[in-house]
Amino acid sequence: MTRQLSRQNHAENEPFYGKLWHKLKHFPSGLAEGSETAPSVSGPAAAAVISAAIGCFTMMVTHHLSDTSKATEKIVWNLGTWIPGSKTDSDLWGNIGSYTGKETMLLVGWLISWPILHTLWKNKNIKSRTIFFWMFALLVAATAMCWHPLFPYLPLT
Amino acid sequence: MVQHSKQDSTTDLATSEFPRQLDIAQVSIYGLSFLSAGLFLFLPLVNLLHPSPWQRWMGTIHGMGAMCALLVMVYTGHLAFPLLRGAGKILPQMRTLAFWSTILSFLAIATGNWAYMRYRAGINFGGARALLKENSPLGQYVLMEYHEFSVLFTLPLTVACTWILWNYGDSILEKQNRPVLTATCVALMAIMFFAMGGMVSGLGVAKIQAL
Repeated sequence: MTRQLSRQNHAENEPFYGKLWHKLKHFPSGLAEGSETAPSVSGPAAAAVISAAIGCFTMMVTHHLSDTSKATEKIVWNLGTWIPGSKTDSDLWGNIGSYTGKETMLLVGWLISWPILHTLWKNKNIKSRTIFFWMFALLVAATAMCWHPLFPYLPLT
Repeated sequence: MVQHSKQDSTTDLATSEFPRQLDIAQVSIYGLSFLSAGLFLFLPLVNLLHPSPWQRWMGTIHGMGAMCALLVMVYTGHLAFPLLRGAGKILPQMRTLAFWSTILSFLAIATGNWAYMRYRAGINFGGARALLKENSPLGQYVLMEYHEFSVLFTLPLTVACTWILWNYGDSILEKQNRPVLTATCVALMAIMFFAMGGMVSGLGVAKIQAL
């Protein structure tokens, strides 16, 4: 049997750094308290987590597609020109390049799939195994795609 | 706060004028935490001594941003374990920690984008990517490509976790919401995994070729 070793919260005896840490842990306070009305089903949570994984997967697919040809890379690069530093004239300072397009596709995949899934699932109870299957499958695939494939027709550029 | 041992002490065998064991443990843990956090936060400042002006500026700023993001994400990820076991006391702290993880993830990515510009400078200007492809291609194709993409995964995941923890409130601990709690905690652990992998791979690239 484990003994409860934590002491009681003697607020009046707490040193100043204890009070400061307590305040920091609850900042911002509105967020720390949580929402007053909570969903009664798992659908909204499933939509949030799975759409995040879809965004990651979309970005990695875009990354590999952009490696297939210079023309595709240019298209991907143009998608990301809204990000500062995407294109510059300086070879000394460089530019971010098509990476901005890939970041854009992460945002597109994530922020488009989230409202769609939320609308579809907001009143549904999504099973635990469905949530975990898609989370793991998409994130493991996205992580594996962080390395160059071994196909000979996709040489390193 | 040091207290002297009392008659009703549950940890000391005999009363004494010395501090209670719990006080010694608390002071030790605080001390070690401050020391290790301080040492880790000191590491990016070493970039200030680098001969390259880009590494001095961009390396220090991105390094500090990445280190702060890593510390908060790892702290949050560690607390995800007791949360998964149902420790409701830490819920308010988890909500704010997930929020600050989101902010710091964004800052680390933004500063990383900035450093990435100079990383892609032309070979005649000493660009790190070009030099790595010439001299140590695995540094670019294995380390850097893993780094630049895997750390981006933390942003949507932290936003999702923040939103879920706020939206479900304390009802996330109820039995019917067990899948939601589990998915959120696993996502927080995944964030920790990507943050740690990103830090190590980023340090690896910087070790081979600086900006």
